[in-house]
Amino acid sequence: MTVPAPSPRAGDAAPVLSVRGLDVVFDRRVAAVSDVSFDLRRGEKLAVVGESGSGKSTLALAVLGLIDPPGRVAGGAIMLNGRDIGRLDDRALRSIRSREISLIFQDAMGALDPVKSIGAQLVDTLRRHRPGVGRGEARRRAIQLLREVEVPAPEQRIDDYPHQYSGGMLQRVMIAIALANDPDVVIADEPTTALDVTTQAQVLALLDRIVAERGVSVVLITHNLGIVSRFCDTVAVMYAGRIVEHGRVDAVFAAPLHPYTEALLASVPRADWPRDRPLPAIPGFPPDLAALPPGCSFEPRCPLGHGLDICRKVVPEARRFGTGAGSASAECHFAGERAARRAAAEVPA
Amino acid sequence: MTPPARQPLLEVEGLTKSYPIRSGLLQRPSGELRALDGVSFTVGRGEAFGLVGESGCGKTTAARCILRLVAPTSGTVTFDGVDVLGLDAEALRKLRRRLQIVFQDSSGALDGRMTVRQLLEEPLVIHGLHSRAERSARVDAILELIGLRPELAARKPHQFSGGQRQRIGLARALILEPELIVLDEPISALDVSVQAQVLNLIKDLQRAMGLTYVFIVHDLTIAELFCDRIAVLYLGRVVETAEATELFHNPQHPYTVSLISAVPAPDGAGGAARRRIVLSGEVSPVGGGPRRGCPFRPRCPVGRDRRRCAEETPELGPAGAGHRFACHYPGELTA
Repeated sequence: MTVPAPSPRAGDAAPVLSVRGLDVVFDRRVAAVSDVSFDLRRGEKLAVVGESGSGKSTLALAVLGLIDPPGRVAGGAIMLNGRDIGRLDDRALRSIRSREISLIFQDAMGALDPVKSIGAQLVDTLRRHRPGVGRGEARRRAIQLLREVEVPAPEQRIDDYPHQYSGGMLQRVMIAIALANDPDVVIADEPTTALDVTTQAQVLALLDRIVAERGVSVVLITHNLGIVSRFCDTVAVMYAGRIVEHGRVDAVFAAPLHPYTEALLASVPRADWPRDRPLPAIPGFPPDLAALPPGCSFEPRCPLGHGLDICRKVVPEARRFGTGAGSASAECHFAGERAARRAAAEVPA
Repeated sequence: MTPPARQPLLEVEGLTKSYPIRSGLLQRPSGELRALDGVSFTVGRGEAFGLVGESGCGKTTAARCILRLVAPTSGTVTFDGVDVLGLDAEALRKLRRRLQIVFQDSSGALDGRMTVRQLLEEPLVIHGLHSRAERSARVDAILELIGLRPELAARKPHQFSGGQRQRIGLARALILEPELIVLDEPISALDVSVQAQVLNLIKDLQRAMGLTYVFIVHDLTIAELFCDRIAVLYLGRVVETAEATELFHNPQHPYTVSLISAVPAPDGAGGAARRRIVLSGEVSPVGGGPRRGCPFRPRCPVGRDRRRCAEETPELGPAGAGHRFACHYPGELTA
C-alpha cells in the first residue's frame, strides 16, 4: 500500500486535472462537447450533471482518451498532472490510465470479463502496470483491495466469477479495480444508477470514505442531483454539450445562476410538494445536437429568455461571479442580474 | 385513515408466486423461491395505489399476476367482482380491455417497424373495435390527449425521445379506454426534466378519464407525490401500508424509514438535516431470507440482534386498520 496522500485543503496547489476549451465532435460535425473548461484539485469531488445528450459521458470518455472514431477531440487541452494527454498516442495513454486516471463504469457486469474470476481480473490490473510484482504478491494485494471495498470474506470470494456477485458487490469490485494502481483522478460514470436506492447509499458511502482516505480526486458523472448534494464539493451543469454553470454545490444549489440549473432543481420530485398542483416541469425536450439554435441552446425552453432577441441570436459566454470559494460561473445573459440579486440577498459575514 | 371508502375495483388476496430452485447436476428442485408471499391489497375505483420496493421485492411479479401475464401459485385477484384467475382465455381477453399495463421501457414494448398510428390502432384491431374511420378518429383524439401533433403519427418509435415514447406507450394503453392501468416504473428511464411532464400527464389523464392506477415504483418520494395509498414490499411481502402522506411522514417499519432516508434530496440543508441510514447487506431473495423470524432482520438496524425478530415472523396487523406494518418494534428507527 502507498501512504495515503495528505488530506487536501481547498484551493491549494495546482489542479490535478485541467481541461481547457475542449471540443468533441462526431459525424457530420455534431458537437457533443463544446468549449468545455474546468479544473479539478487534489481531493476535489466534482459532479458533472446533465440529462441524456448533454455531453457528460462524452466529456468523461474524452478525458480518458477513449473517444472512438468517427468521434474525435477537435480542439482544446486536457492537462493531467501538468501534461497534455490529448496529444499522447495510444501506448502512452494506456500507461497513464489506471495509474494516473481511471474509470468506474455504470454497468459493472458489462465491464468485467464473465469468464475470468474477480481475483484474476484484479491481479491483471495490478500487474499490467507493475510487471515486477509477482502473482502471489498481486493476489495478496487483490484480497486487500476487496477488503478495502468491504466485500465480505474476500479470501473466499476472490475466486468467484462476476455472475456470483450481486450488483452492489460488483460495483465495489469496479471501485477496487479503479483504485488498484493508486490513480490521482477517478472518473465515475453513473456508478450507482443501476443499483437499488439502499445499495446506492452503501456504495456511495464506501466511495466517499475511500477517496477521502486516499486523497483521490473524483469526477462523478450523474443525472441525480440528490447524489450530487450528498457526495460532491463542486458541480458543473451541462446542457447541449456546454458547461452552463459551475461552482460549489452549496452555492449553486442554494441560488442557481442559470435558469436551466434552477429548472432542473425544481423538477426533482419533492415529497412536500402540494399534491393537487402540477409538478414543476421543463417544457419541451432536450435539443437535437445536430440542429442547435443559433443563440443560447436553452432559449426555446427557458422561462427567462424564451423569445428574447439576445437569447435567440447570441451564444452567452461563460462569466464568473463572486470571489473565492463561493464564486460560480454561468453562461447566461441574465446571470449578472441574478448574481447581483443573490449578492444583495446575502448577509455579509 | 381507513381502507378505500370508494368502491373497490381491484382486490388482491393472499397472492403468492413461488419458483422452484433447482440445484445439483440433475437440476432437481431443492427448494422454492417465493417472489410473492401472501400479498393482499384493495384498490378503490379512481384511486392511485402505489406498490413500492427495490428490485427483487416482488412488485413487478405482483403486476404480472394482476394481469395474469404469469399465473400465481395461490391467492385471488378480483377485478370489479370478477375472479380474474378463474377466467377462460376468451373472457380474459375481453377483460384485458379494461385492465392495461404500461411498461418502464416503452421502446422495448413498441414494435420499431410500425408507425405510431399503426401502434395506436393495433389494440383496437386486436379487440375488433370500431370501423376503420372511427379507429382513425380515435387515434387522432388520443394523440391530442397525450400532446403529440397528429402529423407525427406517421413516424416510427425510434424517431422520438424517451419522454415522447413513454407518452406513446401510455396512449396505446389508453386507447382501449381501460378502467385500471398498471404503471410499471413509467418514468424511471426518463430524464429528470421530462419525468415531471409525464407524471403530470398521467395525473391529468386520471382526472379526465376517471382512471384507477396501480403505480409500481422504487422511489418512495414519487409514490408519495402521486399515490393515494402505498404498500411497501420487501422480499415478496407487504411490510407496511398506509395512506401516502401518513406513510411518508410517519413511517413505522425500519425498512420504510431507510428507503426514505436513502433517497438524497438535492439541497445541502435537506440532505444534512436528515439522518442517513445506510443499511448493511442487500436484498437477496435466493436463500437469503431466514426461514424463521422477520425477513428483514439480517439488514435491520433495530431487530438484528433481538430474539423476537429472529424467532417470530411479524404479521401485518389487523386488516381494518388504516396504517399497518409488519414489525415487532415499530417506530424505533427514525430518520
